[in-house]
Amino acid sequence: MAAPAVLSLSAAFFVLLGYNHAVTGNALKMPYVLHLQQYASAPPFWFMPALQPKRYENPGIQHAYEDAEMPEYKEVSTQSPVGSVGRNLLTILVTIIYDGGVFGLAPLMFIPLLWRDSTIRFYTWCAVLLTAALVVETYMSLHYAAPLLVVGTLLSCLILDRLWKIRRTKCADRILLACVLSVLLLAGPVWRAVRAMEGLRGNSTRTAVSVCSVLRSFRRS
Amino acid sequence: MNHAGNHVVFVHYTPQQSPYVTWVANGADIDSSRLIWAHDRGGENRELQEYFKDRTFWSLEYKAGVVSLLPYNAATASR
Repeated sequence: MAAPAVLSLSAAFFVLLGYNHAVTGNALKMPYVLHLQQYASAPPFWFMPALQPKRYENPGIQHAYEDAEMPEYKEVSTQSPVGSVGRNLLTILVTIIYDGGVFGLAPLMFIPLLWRDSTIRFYTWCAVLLTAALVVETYMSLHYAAPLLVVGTLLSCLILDRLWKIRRTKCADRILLACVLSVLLLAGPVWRAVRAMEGLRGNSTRTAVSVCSVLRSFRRS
Repeated sequence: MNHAGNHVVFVHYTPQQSPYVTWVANGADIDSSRLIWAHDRGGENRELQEYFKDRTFWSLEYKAGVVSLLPYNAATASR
């Protein structure tokens, strides 16, 4: 298990260095960091002091940083550390309920029972680490929780696998349980997709049609 | 309608638009791209017009949820 992990992580690391160098001119400076230096008015983490005010030439960018991120930072920096952590934890929980289906988290209750299992312990610590990184974000966009959702789902599946081995259930019961869990996990994303489709019937359709029309007009004949 | 030749499109954003949705994205070799996307920077647009003399210039506007492409008019540029 270690060799493939080391190989793939090493490859990813060197690709990342090359990408950083191509975009920022410095292999050790990530594009996100350069972007923060150029545009951000609020620091990336709520425990950091405010950044130097920037001069914006684009009203859209100015709006994003001065009217959206900065008020968020001012609000979070007036709270106690416990309050700030709690606020981000709540956002993570809402994201999980919305995107992943809260019932998919039910198997996590069995972590203490399976703590002796090294794989379960490894993924639990990964989830803890990812959660710790998220709770100190100033502006926690929902998609930041995506890696945590992946690890959480993987952990849920592993726990179910271990529990099945403990209980030695019949094959038919396993299939039934897998179906029920799949429905519970998919309920949130399907509901969101339906809501998104409803939204597309309004203004978004007009926007999409006009965008296609513009792009089509430049297509090579 | 299909526009032949090479083009430069100045994209004009409004504060109502999401800053996370951008039209300006070009290939690595910009000079030889058939279509170049550029931010509408008002008076500074003239520099691009001088550099890409053989291209047709357009202005991309976003109003009331509709994106429209108009022939570029330097007099009505954003600033």
